[in-house]
Amino acid sequence: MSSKGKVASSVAGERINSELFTLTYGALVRHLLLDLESPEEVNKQLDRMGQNIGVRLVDDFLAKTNTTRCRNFKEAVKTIADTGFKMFLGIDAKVTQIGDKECKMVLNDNPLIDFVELPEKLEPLSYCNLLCGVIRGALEQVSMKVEVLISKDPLKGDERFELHMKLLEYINEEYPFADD
Amino acid sequence: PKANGGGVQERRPSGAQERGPGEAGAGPGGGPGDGLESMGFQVGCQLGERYSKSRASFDDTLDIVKFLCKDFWTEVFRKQVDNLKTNHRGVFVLYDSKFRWLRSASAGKMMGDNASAAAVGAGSGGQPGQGKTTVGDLLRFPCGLIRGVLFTLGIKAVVSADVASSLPACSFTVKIQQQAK
Repeated sequence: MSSKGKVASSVAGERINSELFTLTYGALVRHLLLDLESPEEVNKQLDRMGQNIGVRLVDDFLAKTNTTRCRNFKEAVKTIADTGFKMFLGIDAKVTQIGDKECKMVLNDNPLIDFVELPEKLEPLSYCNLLCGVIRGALEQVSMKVEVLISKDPLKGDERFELHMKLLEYINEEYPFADD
Repeated sequence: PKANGGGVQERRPSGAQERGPGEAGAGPGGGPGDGLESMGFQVGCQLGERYSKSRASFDDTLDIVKFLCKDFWTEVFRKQVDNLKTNHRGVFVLYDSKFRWLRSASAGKMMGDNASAAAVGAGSGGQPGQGKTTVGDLLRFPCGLIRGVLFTLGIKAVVSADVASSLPACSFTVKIQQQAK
């Protein structure tokens, strides 16, 4: 296996086989396509699943890194790009444009789409939509409501994978917290 | 263009055979475990192909099972199977004393009082615990994975998993139904 073929998992230093990871994600998407009616529904489901992951992942992230509180959207985005992607996917992400409320992030290498080609009839499918959900879920936990879209996708002919993030609002923390 | 590899693959090793015997087609009626098993199966087929492509052809079924226990297990679980037993009549038992995917599973919390729910039959219609995640459910994916690897190498088998009381130890029982020719 190539050295690239390893993906970092949640435990720092512990890695899982990246082919297993990539293929399992592929199997998941395929399974959703079989179960749900339209690619649009699959997008929604992937986003929901991602959100669920993100909500938990942020705890893991904060527990294992010495991240100080991100005071604003810009800082949060930088943390995700510099530390988050490295830690969970073993890849580098670069913030290409950043403003107070919007940013674009380019992933140099996206293990989710290794081996993948989309058939034409699945044009509406946003294959990596899980990632958008993860980021949205994670930021929601740290009081930021964001919208994340895949703005460039190599599966649709673009050169690189790019995420577009938009800050909708800062959420005020409400006390007391509701019981789960 | 057609999807391949990890993606939205249309190619199925043999049509309806993809889902295990006993699973009623692709309908959404199947339990969550069925989906996990068939996802495992698909991934198993693909990984089995990838990891065996650069080696010499297999001598016999035992050779294939050994490949599963050594090469495949090492790639996926970072260790080999600890113990392989067979009755020489098509049943193999693979014992892993520290199965990686059960390392953080907790028997008490996961299984409730029903420890026997841990036995899971892949393709034999085992019922997943109702509304509760059991260790058995966690093992459906790897059961499918094993079945997929064997399938892609020409062996049809039924795979089930058992956890003894001592997590994360786990054993997989492979019953071969049709040998490689």
